[in-house]
Amino acid sequence: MALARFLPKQRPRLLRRAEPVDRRRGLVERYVESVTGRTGGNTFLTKSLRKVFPSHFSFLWGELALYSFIVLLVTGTYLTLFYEGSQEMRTYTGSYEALQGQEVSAAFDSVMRISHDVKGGLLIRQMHHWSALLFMGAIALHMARVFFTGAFRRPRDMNWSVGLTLLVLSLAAGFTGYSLPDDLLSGTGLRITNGIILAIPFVGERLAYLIFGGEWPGTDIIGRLYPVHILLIPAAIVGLLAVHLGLVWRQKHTQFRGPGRTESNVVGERVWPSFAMKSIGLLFLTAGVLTAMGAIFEINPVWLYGPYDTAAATSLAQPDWYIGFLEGSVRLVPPWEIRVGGYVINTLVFSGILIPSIIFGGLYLAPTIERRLTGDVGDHHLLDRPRDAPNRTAIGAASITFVAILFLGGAQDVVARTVNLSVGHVTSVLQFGLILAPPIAFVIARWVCISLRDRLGPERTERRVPIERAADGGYHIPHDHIEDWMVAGGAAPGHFDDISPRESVRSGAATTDADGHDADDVAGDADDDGAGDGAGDGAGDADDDVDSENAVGR
Amino acid sequence: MLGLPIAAAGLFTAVALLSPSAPGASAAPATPPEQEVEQGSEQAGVDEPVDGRRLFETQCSSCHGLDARGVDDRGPTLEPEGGASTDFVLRTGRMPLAAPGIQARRGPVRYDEAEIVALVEYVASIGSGPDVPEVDIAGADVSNGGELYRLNCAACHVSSGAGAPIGGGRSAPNLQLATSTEIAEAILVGPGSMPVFGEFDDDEIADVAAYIEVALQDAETTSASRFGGAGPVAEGLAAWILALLPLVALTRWIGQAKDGRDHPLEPDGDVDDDAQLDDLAHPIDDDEEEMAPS
Amino acid sequence: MSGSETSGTGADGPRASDTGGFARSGHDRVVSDDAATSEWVAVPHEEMNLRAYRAATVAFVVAVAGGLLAAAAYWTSETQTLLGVGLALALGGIGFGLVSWAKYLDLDEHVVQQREPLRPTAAERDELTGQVEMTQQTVGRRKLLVGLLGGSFASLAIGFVGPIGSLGPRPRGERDRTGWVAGRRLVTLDGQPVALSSGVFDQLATVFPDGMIGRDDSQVVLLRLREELLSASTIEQGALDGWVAYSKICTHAGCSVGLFGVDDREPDVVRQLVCPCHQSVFDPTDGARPVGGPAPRSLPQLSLGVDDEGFLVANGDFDRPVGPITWDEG
Repeated sequence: MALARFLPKQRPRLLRRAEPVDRRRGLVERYVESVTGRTGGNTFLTKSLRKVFPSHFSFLWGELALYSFIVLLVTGTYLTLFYEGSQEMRTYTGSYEALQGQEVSAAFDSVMRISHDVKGGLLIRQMHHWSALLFMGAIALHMARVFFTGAFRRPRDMNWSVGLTLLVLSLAAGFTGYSLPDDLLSGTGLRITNGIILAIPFVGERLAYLIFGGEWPGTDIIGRLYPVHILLIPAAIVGLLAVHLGLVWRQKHTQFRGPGRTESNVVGERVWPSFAMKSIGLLFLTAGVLTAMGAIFEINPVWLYGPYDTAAATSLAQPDWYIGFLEGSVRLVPPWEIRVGGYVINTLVFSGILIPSIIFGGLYLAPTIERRLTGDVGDHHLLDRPRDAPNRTAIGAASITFVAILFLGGAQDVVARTVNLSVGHVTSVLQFGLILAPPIAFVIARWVCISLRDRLGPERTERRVPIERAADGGYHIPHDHIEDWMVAGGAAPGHFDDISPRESVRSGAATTDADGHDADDVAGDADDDGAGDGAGDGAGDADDDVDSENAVGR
Repeated sequence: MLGLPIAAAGLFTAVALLSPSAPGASAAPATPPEQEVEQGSEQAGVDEPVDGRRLFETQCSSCHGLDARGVDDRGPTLEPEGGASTDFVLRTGRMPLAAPGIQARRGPVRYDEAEIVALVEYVASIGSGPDVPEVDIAGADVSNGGELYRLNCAACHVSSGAGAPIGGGRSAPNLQLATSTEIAEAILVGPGSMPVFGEFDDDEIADVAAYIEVALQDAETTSASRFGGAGPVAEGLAAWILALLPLVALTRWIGQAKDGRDHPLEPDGDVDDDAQLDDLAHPIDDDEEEMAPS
Repeated sequence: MSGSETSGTGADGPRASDTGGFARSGHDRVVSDDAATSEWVAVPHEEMNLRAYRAATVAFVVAVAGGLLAAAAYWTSETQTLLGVGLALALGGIGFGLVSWAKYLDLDEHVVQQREPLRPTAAERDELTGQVEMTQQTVGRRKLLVGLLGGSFASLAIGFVGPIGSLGPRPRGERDRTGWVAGRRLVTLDGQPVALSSGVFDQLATVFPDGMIGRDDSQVVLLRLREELLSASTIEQGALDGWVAYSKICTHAGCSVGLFGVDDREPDVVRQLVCPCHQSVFDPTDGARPVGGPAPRSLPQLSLGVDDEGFLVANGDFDRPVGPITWDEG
């Protein structure tokens, strides 16, 4: 084909070692040199470019969140050039006919202007909103990956807390952003927030007056949320993001178990050029998908919701999806009311304060809880597959089930409409589900994990058949595991030289990785036995020499 | 590469799932009356006027009674009804009902124009309810209609007109197909579970009808596909299916190592590769022994 | 773990190659953080590379076209879909091209890098301990200064509480009062009073106190129901000739209870007010008592009267605060 002309004529010598330093230098090199020569950054730069990242597609989900955040910052900055954070009332005179002449707040007016009178403004606004939804989704996926692979364990328990704080900040960013247009939905959301704050024991009413500048609705709240949304929260997110990524940099990324992978090394590709090119590619792909969403699909049509009016109401009044669990909690918790003396603990204290506190408290405490339950205080750099830790996976599945039912509860009217049932029935089913489904999910997830883990086969024997290295340098399977090895399709027992090499590579190295001993050798740390709850049966006395030899030394 | 078919599938699913008209509330397009006309139709083709009373007796009396005073356990009396409610239920296909006791929903219209007029006249003559209103939206104040709509109608019909469940298995219908006259009739008589909005004057009714037609039934408010009608839940679902899922598929593509590269090459298969590797490596690597000698 | 990151593997390397290929890993490379041992790896060239090269070429061409399309779209009137699609093509093309380029370069590699130990050695720990002790002996020796500095910070914090208090006034019972006083007419959004005689049954209107249209805490949902449906207590609380009025603010979280459903189908003759936010259901025939959903209390009822001209008026304010329940409303 004609394209062939453009193909390289010969097989490229793709990469070469650095040329001698005295050759003619390019512009980029001179620029880099001029900076690093003044900062001593040369070593850092080289080390950074050579940093190794293990490659697995699930490791890219955190980047998805990072890149949607970048899109949020860029589009958000554009929006601030037009948005007015004020509740001052004025008459709408823009080009959207069905609202002309309405008394609207300056905030709503400016959002209408962005949507209908600023060329390209609607595109940017919709991109911003879609990015927010994607941002939270990517965070959720990333967090699930970190949890189910055990990446939140020491030494990354600290970064787990940082990440969770980022999640909380992101939720706050999302909620404040949802509130800024001052349309019917956002006003309703703020109204509910006001109600929840009012319900807080002792200080609720005073606190609500402080935040809203007096009795609901006041005239201050939009103007106050604006700097919070565009300055305080983003600055906090950027700062914590630096800590989050800095810790990943410093602690190096976790990796899945595999041949040659140990607690003491990282196996993967270097930042430059391979990882960086792909990662920057992902940035542009993310931005591309979000732009396409903003261009093609309508989101948050504030002109249909209209300006906020405290007496107006609309059905299908939901928050953006990531607040859905809170909405569900508020919808599903029964009308409990506890009287203490002359005071009331209102249902909103349970649904709006207690349940979210339990959810986030559990998340913050996850590393501690796991440490308590397993007694495992060692460092971990190798990841578990979810099946390797059935109890952890089961707890995770139960928690996700709980939150998922809350999500359904937050959309119970949509669910009722979809399945054509009465809202009351759907609510009752979900209320029971909230209590019954998590234990069921726990049992099922645990059973699935154990079944998967125990399934035998040549490809699935990693945790079953350890290999020892003898004093003479040969390898053999420990006596009490020979049967496992045979069952798994292994050849006759004996030294490794007698066993088919293919088998030995897979099961040998992987077994070594499968138990927790490497960490001891690496970190000189105390007891690391029983790493995770599932690692216990990966007995065997492997040592990290086996792993080292997978890597070709100098 | 892998991502594209998945993305396409995701897009397709989402569009199918999230098309703005809601299930239950979405209406079958009104079938041309002449195909749907039942027993009364022999008179339809002829020019002679339809006898409303006779049509009522054949079509409606089994539930509402020959005297239109209702039949126990089958249908209510039509004494409080009138031209407006009769016109509304016949023109939106809500009557005749498939079975007594179910919620009337929009459906195929069962009678032709002459039959509807005749039935409306007949019921109007025996009932005490309001007559079919005249609605002229030409000079109406759309913006005021919007304010009234949000204050009074959006709680059930949703600010986008999509309709919603209102408890007890009842639901408020989607307004996409409602004509101005039907809207006015509904406001006046409160069909089904809907209350009457007796404090609306004629101008306000016209305003609301105009708002629904101009703002909610106009798909051209933006050129983007209208997710808005179904609210933030649909938007969230769309974000997961249309944006996150394709991007996860893309990370799968990006993070996918070439065959065998996620493990060290295995001895039985890569003798040639090793040879190639040495060819390539040695010319560069002659002064430093970074690689294991083979 | 040995101090040197690479020497251990280096020592074992040759023997590993000898053991039946156990560790002969084609793409394994040890990379230390020492820049001097930098190396690039060339890997076998395969068919897939050319596919990736073509893909990158096409992607970048699409990106160029997309950017131009976006620019052109801006100058036309098509600034939503076309502009966005153009930009999406440009961005996506760059992204797709970069990834394809990386795949073409075929750099998927299997590089081993040693982890640095994160836990401090005994010596490092001792040094830190020494620093802490030194600090205690020098800076910490003057207990008075340390105490006063702490006190200064504490008083600074207290000093900043004042300005925070300016954010909002102290609650003075505003929530106990609304705009309703005895004799004030109920008016609709356009200021029309409601005549006692005007209503058909099962009608709904949102009304405000005369002169306070739009006032949040005074919004009222006014219904007219057939009198035989109303409970005795509802009539006693101020229903008038079938007219009943309740605060429109939900006692759960404060949304507008705007949804009124009527059902006359036997056997469940139902009149219900529903809050569209959280699906709380109230029975307007019985004092708007909560019959479903999360609302714990009934909606406050407004006692109705009629003035000389036959229009509905309030007989006074609500008998309790409207809206969500607070801590001290026991």
